[in-house]
Amino acid sequence: MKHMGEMLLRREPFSEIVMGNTAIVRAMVEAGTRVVSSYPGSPTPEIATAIGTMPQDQRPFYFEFSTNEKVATELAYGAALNGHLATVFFKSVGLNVAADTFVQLSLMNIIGGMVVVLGDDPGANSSQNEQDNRHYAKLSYTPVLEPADPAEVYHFYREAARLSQSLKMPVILRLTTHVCHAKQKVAFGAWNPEPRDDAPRFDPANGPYIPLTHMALEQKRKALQRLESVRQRAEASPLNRLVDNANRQRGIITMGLPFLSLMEVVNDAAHRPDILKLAYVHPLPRKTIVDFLNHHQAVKILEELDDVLEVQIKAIAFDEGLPVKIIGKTDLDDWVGEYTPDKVRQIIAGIWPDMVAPSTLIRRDDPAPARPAQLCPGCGHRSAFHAIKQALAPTDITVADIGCHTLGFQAPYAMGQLLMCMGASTAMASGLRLFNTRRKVVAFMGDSTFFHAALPGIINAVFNRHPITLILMENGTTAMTGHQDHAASGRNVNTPTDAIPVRQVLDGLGVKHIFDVDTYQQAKLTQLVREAVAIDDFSVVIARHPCMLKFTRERRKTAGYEQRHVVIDQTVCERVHTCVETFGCPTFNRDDQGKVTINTDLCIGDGSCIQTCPTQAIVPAGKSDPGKSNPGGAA
Amino acid sequence: MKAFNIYLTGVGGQGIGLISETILRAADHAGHAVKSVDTHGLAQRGGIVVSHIRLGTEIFSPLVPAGRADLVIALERHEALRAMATQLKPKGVLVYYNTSWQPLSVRLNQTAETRPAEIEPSPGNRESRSTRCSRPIFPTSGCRTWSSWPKSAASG
Repeated sequence: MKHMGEMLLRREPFSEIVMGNTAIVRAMVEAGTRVVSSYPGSPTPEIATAIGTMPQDQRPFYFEFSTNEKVATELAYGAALNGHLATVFFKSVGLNVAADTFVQLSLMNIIGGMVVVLGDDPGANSSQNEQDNRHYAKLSYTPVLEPADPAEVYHFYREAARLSQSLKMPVILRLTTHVCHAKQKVAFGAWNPEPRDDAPRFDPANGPYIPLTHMALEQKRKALQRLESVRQRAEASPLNRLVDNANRQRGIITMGLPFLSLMEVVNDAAHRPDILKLAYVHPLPRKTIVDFLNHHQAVKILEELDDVLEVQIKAIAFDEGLPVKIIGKTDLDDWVGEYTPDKVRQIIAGIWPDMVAPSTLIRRDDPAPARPAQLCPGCGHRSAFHAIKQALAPTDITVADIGCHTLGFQAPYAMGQLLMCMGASTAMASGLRLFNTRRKVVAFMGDSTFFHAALPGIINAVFNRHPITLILMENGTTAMTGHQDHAASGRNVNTPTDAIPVRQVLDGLGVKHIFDVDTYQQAKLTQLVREAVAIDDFSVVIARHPCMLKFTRERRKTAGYEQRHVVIDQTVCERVHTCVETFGCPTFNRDDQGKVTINTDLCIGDGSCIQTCPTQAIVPAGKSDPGKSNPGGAA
Repeated sequence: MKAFNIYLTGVGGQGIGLISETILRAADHAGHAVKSVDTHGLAQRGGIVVSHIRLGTEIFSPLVPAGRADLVIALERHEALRAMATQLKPKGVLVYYNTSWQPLSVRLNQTAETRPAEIEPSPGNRESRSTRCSRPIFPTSGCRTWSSWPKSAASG
C-alpha cells in the first residue's frame, strides 16, 4: 500500500483496501468538504487518524478536535453558514452532548451543507449504552443515510453531502462500530479540486437564524417541507437495494450492517426471502415500502436496536389497509446487542426455521477465564487507586467518570462505584453528599473530560459549597481513545498551542483547597487524600502522571532505547502477594504454587510496584537477578 | 473459493492488528476477494483483541460466524483455548503462540491458568489440528503439530 496520505489526495481514481473510517475521508476530499471537527470517541477516532496522514499544508480542509461534541457541532455549523461544506463526527453518546445545538440545525438554512457523522455502537463495545440515534433524527427532522460496508460509507457520504448542499439542511450519516472498522477493497473516484471561494458568505437574509417565537414555528414548517423533499429523493434513490429472489410469500426489510448478516444467513437457504435494504432510513421511502409490502404475504422487519422501522412500517400498512403480515421484534433479545450473523441466524430460525440450516445453528460455551480490559503496566491510575484506597474507609463512596480510570471499578481496586457520562462525577458526588455526614464522597475525573464537560459540575460544587473531594487524574492526553491532545496538552491536532493549566483553572474558579502530586508518590498521595477528605469544603487533588502507554511508545522510537523490567528476588519474596492481588499490575504472573514472576513482554520497568512490596522483593532487572525469571515468554 | 475464514485473537498490545493487516494484504495480493474487521472494544491494553479475515466471493458479513473458522491464529494460550472452543470449525486448524498473559481472575487466584494440555486435541474430543509455537512464531520452524485426525485429511 502507498502512504495513506498520498492515496487520500490522489487525483485519479483508484482501488484500495480501506476501513470504513478511511473511506469516509476520501469521500470528504472528493466532495469538497472544507471544515471537519470532532471530539474523539470510539468507533470513529480512526477518521482523524486518516485525516492526519494528509500533510497539513496539502489537506484540502480544516480539521480540529474541539473540546467537546457540542462545540464541534457549533463550529461546523458556523463554518457552513459561511458557505463551506462542513462535517462533524463523533461517537453515539456524543450526540447527547451535542444535542442542544444539534436539534436546532434542521430549522436553519445551512447554505454550505453539513454532514453529521455518528458512530453508533450496537453491542456497546466501547460505550455506556447502545442508544439508537435514529430517534434523534426523528425528533429533529434530520435525514439519515446508513451504509453497511466501507464502499457504501464512501458513496453514502457523497450522497449525504450532495443532499445537504442542495437542500441546505443537516444530514446524518449513521455508521455503526463494525461498519467503521470493516475493511474491504473500495473503488474510489477521481478528485478534481475546484477553485476555492473562501469569501465569508454569511448573510442574515439567508435565515432566519434566530429560532424564537413565531419564527421557530415557521422554521419548523420549512424543516418538515425539506424532509418531504428528502422522502421524494429517497423513493427514487438507487442506493436502496432490492434483492429479488422471486419469493412472493416472504420478504425482509432491513438496513445497515444487519443486511450483510442476513445475506450471510440466507445464502445457504433453499428458499431465500426477497430483501429490501434501505439506504435512506429517515424519512422512509413510503411508496417503495408499500410496493414491497404489497408483493409479499409476510414481511419481517430486521433492524438492530429499537423498533424505529417497525413502528413506521406498521403504520404505513395500517394507513394503506394492506393485508400483509408484518413481523417485528418478537422478544426482548431482539432489542439488545449487535445483529451479527450468529444473532440474525437465531432470529430468522425463530420465525422461519426452514430458511436456516440446523447445522449452522452453533452455540458453544467458552471455557477460558474472562479477560476484562486492564490498566496498562505502569499506568499512573493504578498507583493512584492503590494509594487512594488506603486513605478511604470501606463505606466511603467513590464516583467514576469516563476515561481509562473508569476501569478502576474492577477488582482489585473497586474505586469508582458508579458511572454515568462525561463530566458527571462531581455533581453526582455532590448529590450523594446531601444529608450524608457519615460517608465521605470522592469523585474521579480525567483531564480531557475536565475540559469537555466537567466545568459546570465543578463550578456548582464551589458555588453551592458541596464538601466533596474531586481527584483529577491528569495524564496529559485523551488516553482511552488513542492519545488525542486536549486543552492542557500544549498542542492541538494542528499546531503547538499554549496549554491551559488545570490547576490555574481551578484556582480561577475559586477552589480553595487544591493538592497536587505525582501518583507514583503513593504514600504522599494517600496522605493528601486523607487531608482533602477531612476538609469540610470542596477540595481537589490533582493526581498526576503521564500516560505510560504513550510515554513508552514514544521512548521506543528514540535511539538507544533499552527495554527495562523488574524481577522478583525469589530469595526475598515471602509470597504476600500484594503486587499481584492488591496492586494488580498485569505484569505479575503467579503459578499454582503461589510463586510470582514477571511477564517481561509486559513490564516496562517503571518501578511503580517496587514501593508496594512489604518485603522489598521487587527489584529492577540487573540489580540482583539478571532477568532469569521469565515465564511470560514462550514455554 | 467459496469461503475461507481466519480468526486471529490475542491480548491488546500483542500486535493482532498488524498481523491482520499483513494477511489481509497478502490475500488481496494473491488475488482473493477479502473482507476483514478488527474488534477491540475499549482501545486499550489488556483486553481481548480479535480480527476476522474472510476470503472468498460468497462472503457478506466481515464477521466470522461462531464455529466457522477454518484457521485460528492465537497469540496467547487462554485466547487459543477460547477461540478453539467457540470459533474453530470441525477439522479446522489452530496455530497458537504458547505464552500466557494471565487474565485478571488467574492473577487473583480465582481461576486456574490454562495449560497447553487443554488445547492439544485428543482423539474424540475435537476433530481439529493444533500447532503450538514457541518464539519466534514466524517462520514456523519452532512449531510442533498435534493432529487427532489422519494426515490424509489434513491436505483436504
